[in-house]
Amino acid sequence: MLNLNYSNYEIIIVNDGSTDDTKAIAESMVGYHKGTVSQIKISLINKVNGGKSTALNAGIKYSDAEFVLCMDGDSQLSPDSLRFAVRHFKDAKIGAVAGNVKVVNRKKLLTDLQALEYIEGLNMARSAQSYLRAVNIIPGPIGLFRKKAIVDAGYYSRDTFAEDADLTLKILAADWNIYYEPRAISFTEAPSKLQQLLKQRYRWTRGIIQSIRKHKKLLINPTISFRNTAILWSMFYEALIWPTMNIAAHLFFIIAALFFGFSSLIIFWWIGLAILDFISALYCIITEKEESRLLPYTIVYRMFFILVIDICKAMSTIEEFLGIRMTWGKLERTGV
Amino acid sequence: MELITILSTIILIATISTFILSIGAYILYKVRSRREQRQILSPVVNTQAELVTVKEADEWEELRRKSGRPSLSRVQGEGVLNEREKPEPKPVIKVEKVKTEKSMSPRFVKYNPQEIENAVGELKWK
Repeated sequence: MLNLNYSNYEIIIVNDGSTDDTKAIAESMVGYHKGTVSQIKISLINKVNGGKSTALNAGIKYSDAEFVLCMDGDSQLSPDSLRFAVRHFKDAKIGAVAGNVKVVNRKKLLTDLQALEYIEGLNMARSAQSYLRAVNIIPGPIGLFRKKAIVDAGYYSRDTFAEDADLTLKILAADWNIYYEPRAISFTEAPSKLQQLLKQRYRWTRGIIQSIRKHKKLLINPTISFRNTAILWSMFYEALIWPTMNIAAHLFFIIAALFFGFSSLIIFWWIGLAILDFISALYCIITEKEESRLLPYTIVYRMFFILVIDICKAMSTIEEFLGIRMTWGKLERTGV
Repeated sequence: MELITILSTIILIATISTFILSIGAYILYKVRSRREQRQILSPVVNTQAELVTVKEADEWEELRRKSGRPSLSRVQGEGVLNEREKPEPKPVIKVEKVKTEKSMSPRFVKYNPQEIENAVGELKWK
C-alpha cells in the first residue's frame, strides 16, 4: 500500500476482532511512513468482530476523505491502481470505480482455472457493463468510491452475504454511475482447494440472490430505472438462469448418450463450447496482457470447471429459497 | 468416425464423473461446514473498539477544544455521518480513549447503530 504512485492518501487498517497477531502487527505500523511520493499516515481501528460490512463502515466513517478505496486483507494493489482509478471522478456522476481483480496464487490447476475465470468471465463482463456506466458488482478486493455515493447508498449493509453486490446496487439505485478501470489492478488470493472454492461460491451465490431479492422492486419495475432493471436482470440471468441451463444441457447430452444412443452429440457440444471459450480467452489474454499458458485451460474450463461451479450455484440457490441458515465461514489463506 | 466415438465416450465419462464429483464435494462441504459451525459456537466476549492513530497538529487540538468536538479533522465526516444516520436513529458510541504517539486525544465519536445491534458485544471507541 505504501508503494502506490499517488501523493495524497492515508491508510486505515480495520482489525475486525482478529484472533491471530494481526492487532500487534497492525499497531506496529501505525504512524507516518515513507511512501513512493509522500509521507503516508497509517491508522488502525481495532474493533470487536462484527463482519466485513461493519469493518468497512468503521473505516469509511473514520475517513474524512472525499474518496475511499475499499479492499480486502488478502489483496494487494498494483502501484498505479489508485492513480488510474481516481481520475474517473472528474465526471461528477461517477460514484464508484470498480477495479480489475487478478489471481495471485497461480500455478495450480484450480487457481489457474480461477485466474482464467476472472479474466474471461468477470472482467470482460465488467468492461461491457462499464460502457453503460453500470457495473453490477464492485469487487471486494478493489473498489474506489466517492464517499458521498456511499453515504447516499446507506453504507455497507449486514443483511446480505454479498455486501459488495448490495452496495453496488444501492449506489446504482441512488442514480450514481459506476465505471470499470482495468488498469486499477488488485491481486487477490484465490481458494486453492475445492472445498474452499465451494465455500466462497456458496456465499457469493446466496449473497447475490439476497441482493437481487432486496432490490426486486427495480427488477420488476423498469419505469424506476430501465438501466438498473437491465442490470438486475443480467445478474438474475447469471445467478439463476444460466447455471440451470448449463446443468440441464449437460444432463440432456448425458441422457441422450446413455439412453438414446446419441453419444456423439456430447463431443460436438464440448467442441463448440471449447472453441467459443478459446476465442474469448484469447481476446481477453491479449487485451489484458495476461499469461498465454492459461489458454489450454479453455479445454476443461466450460465443460468441467464451470459445471462444478454451476452445480454449487444451483444447490446454493435451492438452499437460499428454502431459507436454510448460513454463516460467513472462514476461508483459509496461505498468505502468498 | 471411430475417433468421434472414442472421444465422445471419454467426454461422457468425464462429464458424468464431474457431475458426481461436484455433488459429492458439495455434500462434503455442507457436512464439514455444519461441523465447523458447531465448533465455532463459543461464548461471546464483550470487547471494546479502539482507534490507534498518530496525533496530527497542536492547533487542531486547540480548535477541537473550542468547538467541543473530538477532533477538527473529523468535524466534516461527523456531519455527513449524522445526516446519513437520520433514517435509522442510533445511540452515539462513546469515545473513551484514543491511543496516539505523543498524547491521548479522542478522534472518533460515532458509529453506525445498526451495526452495533448486530455486532457481537457492545461496541465502544476507547
